Amino acid sequence: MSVTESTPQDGELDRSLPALLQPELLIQLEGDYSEGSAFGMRTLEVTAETVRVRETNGVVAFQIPVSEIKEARNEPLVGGGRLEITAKNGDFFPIITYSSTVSAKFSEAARGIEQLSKGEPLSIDLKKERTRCAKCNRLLPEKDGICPACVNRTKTMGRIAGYLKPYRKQAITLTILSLVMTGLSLAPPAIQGALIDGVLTPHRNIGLLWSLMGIWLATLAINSALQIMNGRLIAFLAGSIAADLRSSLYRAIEFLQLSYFDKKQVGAITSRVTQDTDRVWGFLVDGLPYLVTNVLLIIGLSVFMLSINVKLTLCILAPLPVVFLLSGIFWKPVSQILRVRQGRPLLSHVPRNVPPAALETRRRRGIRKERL
Amino acid sequence: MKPEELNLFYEPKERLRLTVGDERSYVSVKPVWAAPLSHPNAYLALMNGKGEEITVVQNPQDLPTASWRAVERELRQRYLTATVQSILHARQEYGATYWTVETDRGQRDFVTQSLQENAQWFSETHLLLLDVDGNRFEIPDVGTLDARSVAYITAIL
Repeated sequence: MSVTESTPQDGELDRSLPALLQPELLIQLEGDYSEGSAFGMRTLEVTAETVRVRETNGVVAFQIPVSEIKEARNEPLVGGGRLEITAKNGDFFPIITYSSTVSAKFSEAARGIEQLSKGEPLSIDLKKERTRCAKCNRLLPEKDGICPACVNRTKTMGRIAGYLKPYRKQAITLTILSLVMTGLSLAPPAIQGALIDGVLTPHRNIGLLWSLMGIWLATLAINSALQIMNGRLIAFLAGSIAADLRSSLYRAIEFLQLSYFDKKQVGAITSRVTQDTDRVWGFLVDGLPYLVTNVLLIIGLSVFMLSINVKLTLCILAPLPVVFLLSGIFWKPVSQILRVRQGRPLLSHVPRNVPPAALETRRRRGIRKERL
Repeated sequence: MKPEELNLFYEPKERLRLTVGDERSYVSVKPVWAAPLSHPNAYLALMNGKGEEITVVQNPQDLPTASWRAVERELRQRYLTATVQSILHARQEYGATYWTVETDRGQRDFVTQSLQENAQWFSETHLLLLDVDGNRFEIPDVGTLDARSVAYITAIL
């Protein structure tokens, strides 16, 4: 069995031998530290006969016959690891150092070297993992994961909207209620217009005043009733969707391979189940209705104003291009500041603003992360 | 154990060994900081090959010079924390922060997520960044960085 992370180029092994005579590379892994523990690159190469480490320029920095190996192990270090080989004669060699990014692979390679040294068939799992996005070349937050910059947002929206499917009736009712409420919110300005034109004139029409007051009162009463219904529907949808989201995520986690749980911290998985579902839920029950209601309101108001007076409406809407331009300029920095402020209070001032006990808790949390 | 009695040296070439006076010898020793962030450069624990504690040296400077040099070499190899000297570029996109930094170990690109958890302030100026793989990037004093690096930290954190 051959487990090779990247295919070696011709002549890379031993330039004096023709390619056909080159021993097959069973393991080839790139470490991300050079000698002296500086960032760099050294390559571990394992054939059936030899274990060797090459420098970037191709020079063999270390070599040992597999038959002379007694033990190979991954020694965990703080922020990475080191592959250590103990020879049968008792000699000890720390052969290559690497960061946490690749330590799991080297741990697997150590297992492979041990198998070879004992004369067993090589049986390890060293699949190649993507660390950069193939499309935009950004570093991926998770190996073999999705690039957040290149994710298909339409598809994602479609998947999220899929959670509303079982509650189609309630979602349609909610949309209708939103439309009606938007329509009702346009009534007061129309009533005010009628008041100014029909009542606040030299020939006052008191009868019309009472009628308009009645209509306004009825509008307010209906709007309040609709708001109660709307709130109840949102609460129902919120609870149901949150339950569905979490149970489907839990189901997905149950089907994951055990190696996933080896790599991930329990806290990260728990955070994903709670915080990420909360965000999707928040978008569906809070963000989406807010967006729909306000878009409808803007459209309704524009149509309403245009029906009254086109010139006046255009004058009112004239500053809009400037507003859009300024929003385009300031949106990103302002939203970034807001996100940071919402995430936590001014991090750089935490030690000044929080009580000493809280600071101590933060410090202790950090210290717990120190791995000896 | 008295620090001056602890004789640490490499024997064989790549294995740190400890001899305590004329009493006994440990063939494989791992030096680890007991509290590297709260008490840096103090409380050095010496562990044997099984990971059991041999002793704790409160002030490692009290070790004989040759022993301290050997320990320093081993610590440099065991603690792969990179000390950030300057931040060349940093940007936040889609919930992840992409950093390019110059460190005492060379230049490095890395990604961080959830900065509430993975950017740890240990004092007003001491910052530790943990990337998505658990690699550690330490800034012992943010104030000593250049203006551009400080601006990146202020904008992001």
